[in-house]
Amino acid sequence: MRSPLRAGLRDATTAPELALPRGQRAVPTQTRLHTRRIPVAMYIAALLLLPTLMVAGFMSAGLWANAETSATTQSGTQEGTPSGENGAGAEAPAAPADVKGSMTVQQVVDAFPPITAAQILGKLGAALNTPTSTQLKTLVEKGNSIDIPSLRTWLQGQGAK
Amino acid sequence: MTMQEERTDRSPNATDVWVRVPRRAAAWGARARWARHAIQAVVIAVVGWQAAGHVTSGGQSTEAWCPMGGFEGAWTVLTTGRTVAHVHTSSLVLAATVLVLALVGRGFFCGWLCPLGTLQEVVHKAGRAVTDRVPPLRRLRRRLERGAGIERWRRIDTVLRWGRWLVLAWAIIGAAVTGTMVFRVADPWIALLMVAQFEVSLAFVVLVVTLVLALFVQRPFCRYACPLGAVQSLAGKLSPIAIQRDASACLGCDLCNQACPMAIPVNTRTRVTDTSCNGCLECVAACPSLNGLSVTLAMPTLRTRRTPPATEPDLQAAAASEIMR
Repeated sequence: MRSPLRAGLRDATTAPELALPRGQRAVPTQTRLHTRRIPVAMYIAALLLLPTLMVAGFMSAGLWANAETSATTQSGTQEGTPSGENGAGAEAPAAPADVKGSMTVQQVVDAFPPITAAQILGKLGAALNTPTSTQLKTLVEKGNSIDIPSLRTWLQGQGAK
Repeated sequence: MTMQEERTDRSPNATDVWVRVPRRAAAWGARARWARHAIQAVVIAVVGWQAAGHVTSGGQSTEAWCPMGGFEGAWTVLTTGRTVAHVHTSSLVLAATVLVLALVGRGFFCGWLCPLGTLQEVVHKAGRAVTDRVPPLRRLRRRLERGAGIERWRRIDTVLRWGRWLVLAWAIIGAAVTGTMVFRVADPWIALLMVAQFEVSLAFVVLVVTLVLALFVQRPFCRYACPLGAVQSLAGKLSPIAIQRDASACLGCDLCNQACPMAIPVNTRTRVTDTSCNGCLECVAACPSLNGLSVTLAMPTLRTRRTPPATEPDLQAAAASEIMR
């Protein structure tokens, strides 16, 4: 004997208003993964703690370096010690390609011995009495002569290694 | 959080059936939002302090706080051992941190920590506040939102979302090939940090366009052009944590869809694993159902026990236990 409930369900599933439009999929209602709820507060706290701990860990390992400190593998200075005359500027360059705008004229002179401060200042269009503790980017901005990539090319041309 | 059992609105598909679902306390969502905004404010304050310090004393480079620089310079560091110009080891550290964060929490960095995303949100909310108060603008906005062009806009939106993958490829491959940060010239984040120098550049133009678009579209740069978001999307695909929707507790109220800044149709998902999800939890905060949306951790095993097909006595028992009207 046919159950009226079962017949009702069958009719409902074949009803035209429940048919999916062509090219569309039914919205799934259940994931196949085994999942466990996490308290939202704990989730947020953990994700805030994670980057804090990671950065702190890298800092304590001496691997954090910005313009004021030197801790990179490219530098010839001791790890974590300020470089340059006034402590400003980045790491000492190992090759012309490493020269950066944040470096001082003195750092470049120290790194590439045949080059003199007068040569660099002249190349950058700065006065010869400019302090060698001046950052290269400051001279580039004032000088209107060459930019840092051109200075690197020039240093390479001068035989700096 | 208090558990309340209330009647839901009438379901459109089952007109005579009323379902009881536990409701979440109304203040819960507000507290979650305030927590996020407080953290965003702290991040903005820290970055602003760094930028101001750089402008006034020429101290730490603000670019040292850019994780994207780390991704751009990673290839050069790995192959030559040297960093490219404008990239500091702090950028590499931040890139590694963002990567690990994405492996755990998908786009959590974008939703909770990214200052550029915060700025876009602020601009968008300011735009909404203005249009809400000016009747002609409000009418125009509603007309646009309900207009016939909405479907066309959705198609355009879908196509434009490929943009961030292109930008990512340009940034990473360009940096690897040329040894310079090619994306820097168009990076609105750099323009924002250098805004005190009043330098009109391509990056500045991108920043202005982004902020103007943010008046109309939520997080336009995040949706269409952010390479950092694209990197996190890739890493986030491996994350075991995601927002999960319980269909049996879903009220079908559509509030989650409206709350999502990335326009993800949350109420059509079982787990929100979309690459554009920025983990802001706005959908969870907006959900009035206690169990409708929740943050879940996927276990390494698949669900093995499937619900057996209902027998006729089961169906009769279920029909009898339902609250019929």
